[in-house]
Amino acid sequence: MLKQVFIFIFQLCLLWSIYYAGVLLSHQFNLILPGNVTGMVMLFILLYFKILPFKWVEKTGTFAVKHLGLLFIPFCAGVVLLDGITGQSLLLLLMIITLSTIIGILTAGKSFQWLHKKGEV
Amino acid sequence: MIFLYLSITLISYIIAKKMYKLYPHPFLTPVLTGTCFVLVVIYSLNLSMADYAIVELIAGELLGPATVALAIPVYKHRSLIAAHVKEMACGIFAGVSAALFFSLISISLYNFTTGIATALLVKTTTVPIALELTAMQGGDVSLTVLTVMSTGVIGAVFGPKILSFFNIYHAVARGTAIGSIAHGIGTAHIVQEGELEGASSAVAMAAAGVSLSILLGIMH
Repeated sequence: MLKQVFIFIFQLCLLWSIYYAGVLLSHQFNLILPGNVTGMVMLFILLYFKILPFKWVEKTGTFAVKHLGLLFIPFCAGVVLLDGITGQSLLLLLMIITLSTIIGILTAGKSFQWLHKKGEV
Repeated sequence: MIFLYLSITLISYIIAKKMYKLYPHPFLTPVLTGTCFVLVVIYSLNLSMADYAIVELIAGELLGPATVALAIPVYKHRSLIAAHVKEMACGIFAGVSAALFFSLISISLYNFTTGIATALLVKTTTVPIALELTAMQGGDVSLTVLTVMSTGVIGAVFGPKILSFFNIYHAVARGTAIGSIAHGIGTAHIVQEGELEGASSAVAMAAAGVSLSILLGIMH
């Protein structure tokens, strides 16, 4: 049990270090990627080129991805404090979001399928 | 006090997660129902929402490393990606661009505040990436969370139906389309169609975060 906890914390520290390295890199070099995205790309590169063994981040990383939603709850709860937005503008916003979402999904799916079919011929 | 707020959040999440397992409908996404439980408890116990902000601070600290971990599904499914790399890359980039383009048009039509405009631009990516992009563009956290969550739910509800309507049945195509726009909420939903759909959706979600960051960075 204690060993499991230790492994979890060690892996969390590793992910944390990569995150901070990403933040630092984004900041230092004025990258267009935000720090957490840079960290994500870095972790992928580290894993892909076997610089970092997958086992070293597997436990905490898999757990974090699975329960990422838990960390969103406090931010979502904060939405009730939102003011200065009327019901009418909310409706307009929802309409824009709905259309934009449908267009995005359809474009992604169609482009994928179009290229896929082209490859088969 | 902090302990009480943390417990409320954790227990709400666990119940919400159990509920979603029983009734996996996008409207019952654990983040949404969990948030409702938290709010109900806070208001019925007459606790202060302002004090609850401490939990947001703690979650914010953990969100960084957790977002980095989104690279893990991408690494795990690298052979799936290798088999469809061109289609996935184009699908993700085209989808994210199309949604962004539509947002840009609507922003130019209506006189939105900076907060709303930013929230509309970043809405197709997962919450932590959207929040970082919002900070870079100068937006409002709550507005962004609102648009991001709405996009996820709407995408999860209508996305699969629309893909079927337009005869898009390829498992990887469906996953890619849903993941690149409806991020985590869409992924949790499309995984019910199959493992392949879920895997490609998780990959697309991470790649879409990178794509949107690049697109917004170039625009800025």
